[in-house]
Amino acid sequence: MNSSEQTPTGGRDPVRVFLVDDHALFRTGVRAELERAGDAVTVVGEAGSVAEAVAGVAHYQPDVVLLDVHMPDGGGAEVLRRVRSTRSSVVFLALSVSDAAEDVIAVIRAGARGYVTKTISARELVDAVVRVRNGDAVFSPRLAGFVLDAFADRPGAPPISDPELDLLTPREREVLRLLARGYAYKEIASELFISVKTVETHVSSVLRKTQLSNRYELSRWASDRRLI
Amino acid sequence: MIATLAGAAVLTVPWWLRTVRALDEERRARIRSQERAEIAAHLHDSVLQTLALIQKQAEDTKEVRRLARSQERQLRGWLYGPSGYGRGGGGAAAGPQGPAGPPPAADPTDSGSVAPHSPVGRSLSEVIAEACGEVEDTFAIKVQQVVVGDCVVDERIAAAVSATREAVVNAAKHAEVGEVSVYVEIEPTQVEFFVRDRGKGFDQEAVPTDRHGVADSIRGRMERNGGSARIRTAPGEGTEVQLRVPRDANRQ
Repeated sequence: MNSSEQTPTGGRDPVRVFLVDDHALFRTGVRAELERAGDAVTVVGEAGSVAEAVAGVAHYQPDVVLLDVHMPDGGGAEVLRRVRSTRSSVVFLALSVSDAAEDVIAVIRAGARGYVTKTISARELVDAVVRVRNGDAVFSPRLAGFVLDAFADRPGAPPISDPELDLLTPREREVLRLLARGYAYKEIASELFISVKTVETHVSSVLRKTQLSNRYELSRWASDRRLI
Repeated sequence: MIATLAGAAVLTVPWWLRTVRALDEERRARIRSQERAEIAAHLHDSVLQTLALIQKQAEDTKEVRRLARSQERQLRGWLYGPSGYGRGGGGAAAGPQGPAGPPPAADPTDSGSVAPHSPVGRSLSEVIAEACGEVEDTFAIKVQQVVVGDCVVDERIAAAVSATREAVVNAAKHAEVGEVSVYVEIEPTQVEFFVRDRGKGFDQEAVPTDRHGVADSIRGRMERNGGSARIRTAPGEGTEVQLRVPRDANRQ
C-alpha cells in the first residue's frame, strides 16, 4: 500500500529504514540490532537532528522512518510536519522512551503510524517496521492505554461534536483493551473470534480517529505539552 | 511647593520603572539558576550514582539490568510523573531520589506482604507503578504496566493491588518468562486488574494444596473485599489473572 518502487507490495525486498534520533549511541544500537535480525529490513541512513532528518528522508526516500519523539528543535512531530506534505509515501514509526502521553499523542497526530518503546526486542521491532510498511498501525500496550485514556468518557467531558471521529466503537475499545493487556494481534483475533485482518482494520480506524478527532482531551494534551 | 514635588515625582518615573524591571530580571535569573542547580543535584544523586554502580558491577548482567531498570523508572517518575518535573511541578515536589540502590530488604518469598506505608489515600496509578517496580527489582524481570484512568485508593482497592502484586510475583517465580503485562482500568463503578504472561501456564486442578498463593492471596483477598478473581491458564498457554473490585459509590 505505502510501499515505494523499490518494494512492491507483498514482495520480499527488505524494508528500507531510516533512523532519526539525537543520540548517536542509540542509533548505533538499533542499527546493529536490525542488521542482526535478518534480511527483512535494511538501514539506509540515519540522522541526528530535525534538519538532517528532513534532508536525509528526501535523499534516501526510505520506506519507513524510525522517529525519536524527543529531539531538540521540535522533535519527531516537527520532522513529520516538514516531511509529510512532500513525501506522502514514507511512513513513520515513533520509537521513544518518553512516558508522557501528550508527547506520544502529538507525534501520532502529526502523522506517525504507530508508537513503540525503546525497550522493544529486535524481533518485535522488525515485525512492527514490516507492519507499518504494509500500511497497518502499530500500537504498543502503552499507546493503547493513552488512546483509551484520551477517548474516556469522564464526568464533565465536553459534548461530542463528531460521533464518527470522537467516539470509539465498542469493538475498537475491546481491541484496544486487549492490546493494553499485552495481547498480540493474533491472540486478539482468536479471543474475539475475528480474523487478524479485522483486528488490523480496527486498529487502523482507531489510529485515524486519534489523528483526526478534536475531542477536548486530545487538544488539551497538545496545548499543555511542556517539554524540557 | 506641591507643584515642585509632583514635578519631581513625574520626572523620576522612568528611573523607577527601570529599577523595578531590573529587580524583576534579577529575580528571574535567580530562579533560573536555582532551578539549574536543582536539576544538577538531582542528576548527580540519582543517575550519576547509578552509572557508577553499574560500572562497578559490569560483570553481573542481572544486577546491571536491575539497576538500569530501577534508575529508568525513577527518572521517568521525576520527569513525567504526576508531580514530576515535566508536569510543571518544577521538580521540587518530587525531590532528589537516591541512586537505584540495593533491592528492597523484604524477603522475596513473603510476596503477599503489604508495603510498609499504606497505599490508602494515594493515587492508584502511583501505587501500581510502585508495586510493579518492586517486583521488577526483586525478581529481575520486566513488568510492562498500563493504567487507564486514576482514582484514590481505598481499603478494597488496596487489597486488589496486593492481589495484583501477588499475581505478578507468581508469574515472575513460576512462568519462566522475562516479561509480565499488567493492565489496570479505572471505571466509574469498578476497577479491573489484569496480569498476563506468556509463560508455561499450569493445570488449575493440579495445584498442590500447600501452595496457597492463588487460593488465599488472590481469590480469598478479592472475595473478602467484595471483588472477584478469575484465572485463565493451561499448561503451555500462559496465564492471565483477572481481578475486579467495585468502587465505593459514596466516594469519587
